[in-house]
Amino acid sequence: MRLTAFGFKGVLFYLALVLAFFATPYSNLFFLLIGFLSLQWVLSVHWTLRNVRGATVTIAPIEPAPAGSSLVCSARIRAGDRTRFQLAVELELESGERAVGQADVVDGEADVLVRLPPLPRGVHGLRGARLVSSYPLGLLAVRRALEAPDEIIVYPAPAALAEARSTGEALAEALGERSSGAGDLQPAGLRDHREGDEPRAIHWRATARRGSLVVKEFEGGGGAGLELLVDRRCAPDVLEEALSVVSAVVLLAREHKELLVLHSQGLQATFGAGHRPWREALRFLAAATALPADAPAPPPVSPGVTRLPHARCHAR
Amino acid sequence: MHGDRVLRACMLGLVLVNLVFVQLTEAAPIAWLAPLYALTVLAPLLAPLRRRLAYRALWNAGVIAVFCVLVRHASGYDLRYVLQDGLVLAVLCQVHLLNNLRAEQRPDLLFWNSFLIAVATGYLSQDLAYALAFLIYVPLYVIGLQILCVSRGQRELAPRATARILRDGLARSGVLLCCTLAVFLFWPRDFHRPSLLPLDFDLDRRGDALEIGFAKDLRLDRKGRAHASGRVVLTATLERGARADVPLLWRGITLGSTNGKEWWALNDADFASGVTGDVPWVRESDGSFTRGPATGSTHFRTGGPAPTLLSVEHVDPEANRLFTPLSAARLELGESARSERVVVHSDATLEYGAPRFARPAVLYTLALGGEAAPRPAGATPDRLAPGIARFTALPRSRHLRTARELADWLAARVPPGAPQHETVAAFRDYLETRYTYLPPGAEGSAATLAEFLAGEAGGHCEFFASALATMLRSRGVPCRVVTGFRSGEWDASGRVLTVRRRHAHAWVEVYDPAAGWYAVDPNPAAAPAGKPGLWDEVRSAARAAWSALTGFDAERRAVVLAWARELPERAWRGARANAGQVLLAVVLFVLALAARRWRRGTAFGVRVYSRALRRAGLALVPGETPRELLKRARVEGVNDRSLSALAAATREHERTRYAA
Repeated sequence: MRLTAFGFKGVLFYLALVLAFFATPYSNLFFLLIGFLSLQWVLSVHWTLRNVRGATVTIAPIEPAPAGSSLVCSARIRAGDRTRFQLAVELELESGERAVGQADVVDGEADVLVRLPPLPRGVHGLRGARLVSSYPLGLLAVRRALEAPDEIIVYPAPAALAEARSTGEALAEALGERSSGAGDLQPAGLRDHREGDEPRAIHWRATARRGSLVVKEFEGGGGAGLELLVDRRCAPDVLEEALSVVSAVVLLAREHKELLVLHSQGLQATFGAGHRPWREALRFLAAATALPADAPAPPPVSPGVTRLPHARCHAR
Repeated sequence: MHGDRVLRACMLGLVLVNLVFVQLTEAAPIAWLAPLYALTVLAPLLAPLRRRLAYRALWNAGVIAVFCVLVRHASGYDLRYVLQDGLVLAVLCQVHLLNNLRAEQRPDLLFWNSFLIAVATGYLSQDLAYALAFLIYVPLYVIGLQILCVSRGQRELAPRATARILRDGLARSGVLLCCTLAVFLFWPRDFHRPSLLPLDFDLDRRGDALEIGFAKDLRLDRKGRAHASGRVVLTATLERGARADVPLLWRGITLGSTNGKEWWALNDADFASGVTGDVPWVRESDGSFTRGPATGSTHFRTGGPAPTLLSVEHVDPEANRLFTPLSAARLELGESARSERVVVHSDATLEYGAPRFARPAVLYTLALGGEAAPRPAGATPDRLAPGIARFTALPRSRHLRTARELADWLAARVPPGAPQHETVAAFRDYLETRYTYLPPGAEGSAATLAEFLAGEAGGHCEFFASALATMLRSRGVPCRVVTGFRSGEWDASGRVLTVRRRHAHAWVEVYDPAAGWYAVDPNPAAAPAGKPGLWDEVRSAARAAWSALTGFDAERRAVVLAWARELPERAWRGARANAGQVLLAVVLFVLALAARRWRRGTAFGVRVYSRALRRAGLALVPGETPRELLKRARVEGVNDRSLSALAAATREHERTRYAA
């Protein structure tokens, strides 16, 4: 429990009045008013604590968001058996910035949206989350620590892409050339067709032989998808541009429910349904940093795999 | 509703109540406060103008001008107007804040300043109206703080949320007031604590308007507006005796000399060689003052029932007299007042310290020695004692010719050889019934005694007293004018007589050789009022409650404590005596509590749905929606009746939950 700025002024005012009370002869009315002011403090402590005690808050994980856009964190407040007022969920970022979402009156349950300020690309930690209330008189603020989300993923702002029918097209458009797409993956075997498999992955000869649909399985993936290699041994601005393109591709792939294989220094993974979650891909993009020229090379991949930063990016 | 609007409404209310507080103290005339009232009420209309530079410039110039006027006013009169100007400045600050606070600025100062005004004015005004204003002030203050806390003046507040906050604020205000009252009643403290700082500066306020109050002299040529102040001078609580024994007239000083236009007090040295007929106050070894029975006087009984006892609380620091009735026989000062200097005057009045801006209330106990109205019976002797003869002196003034002529004319109508008091009664009755009473400062008031007695103009109590005293002296009847207070503001429930400044009065004391000095009041305004109505009784009860609060002392606290200690035992006895009724009340209370809890705990739709689920013999599995469960119920072949009930309950549940 802490004094608010208003409460601090209130303490000074209270002390001045108490001093005046003793400086002047005893007066019943003055005593009554001093009693009122004293009780205001006592009851303020009780009321403010009571307003927060017993309320439970669940903060939902914060969805990754692109750099420069505002983030929204939702929290659900359960008031329990009584009505509560002015319950605010406060998130404190590593930078010291605070974002607050408030429910004015909570009867039963209430959802609160905490709007975080736009953040730069990166994986941002949270110093903490708190339930805060200074109701009813605003003299004292009670803060109760909450379980805060682990991190806030802010991935690169995706490059602007024209409406593309597929992720491969979008990538090609972004890079100004045709992408090899899923065909560049190395065939690793055959398997029965599953719902959602791309038609071009069907192995027609095997299908004819078996009498049921058979699809080709590619190395590193379980079905259709893109494969990208991000070589981080480049200038930071060049990397930013490349990551922005990858970010757009990742979002498209997620939207189209495609698979995406990403290679980079320290990363070699397939993302999508049945594989690693997209959140991890976005986390990689958020955390990726440029490496010096003498840093280890990315893992070896087929020559057909799209490489980023692209030569054109370098040229810029 | 925008939080800012609600907050501004609360702040407007606070400033209005502040203005009322200041008005109640009578520290500032209404002419000063009226523009501030107008600017407060018009604040919402003036708000759009704040964007205009010309308006802001005009406003600020006005504030600076008023501030300069106040400073000039205060500095021109030393400290006389410091209180008045300080309070006006405080409310001016409030009005300025209300009209100029921007949305992004916090109104902290307005809230604290409002409380400061409540405290400062509470030190000066102890009237019932103050209590009412404070009862309005508290919810405005609490709700204002709550709205400030929730909306910070900028957030949008839903009407429902606003209504909830208002209800909550009212409830909390009630709790706060009740707790304050409990603390006030039970908190141990020293009721006679002196101040740490000496506050001895003189505040002899003499404004343009003549303030009605206790005066140490009487001047009939005082003209101009008069202001009747409601400030309490003293309260007298009847500790023992009957209501009829409580005196109405409280003496402050007697005025024995006159020049026809003025009356003033005789010096004590004038009586060094002669008796005055007064029973003097004598300081006893225990610090109390007593007046012994005088020979031939009916003022003081020597036997009979126990004397009437009055506890007096003298709260007006500017009136440095210990006001006592003529029949007071013993005066015992409270412990805290004993250190102050008390001067005993030969006319049986007591002077206490010096007039001050502030000092603790002077508490004293009075024992009345005899009947409130002595029974005069003697005739005026041919030769009076030198001390008494002074009270028949009249100057040779043409101003007094009318009075003499009237006295002679009236005396001729009194039977020859009648006792002196019959002459006095005849004169009093004539003045009381034939002359018009006008309050001080009223239009058509007389300027001289002759004008008044000629019937050309009405007059106030000083004219009546002056006329009677002059007429009596012209007939050789020893008398003097007395100034003090006359109050009939009696609270029957608290057995308290309240005396205010506006009750200031002048009357006559006549010396009767058989009865000594006795009071005669020729003022028609002193006639007893009719039977009080219901409203008067309600007002009287409220005033009594408030008087009990402002006059609370150690003894009353002891009574309250004893009552509180006995309360459980009395409650238990009462409960045992009415066991059936108490049991019924407890059962009803428990049932009401349970019903409230049941109603509040679960929404109606959810209760209906739970019942339908039980009837169908189903239970929701984690993650399953009611609609999915309905599908499952159809698959599992639940009977039609239960199924239709479940379908209806699902619809009701969805309606409740999603307001579909």
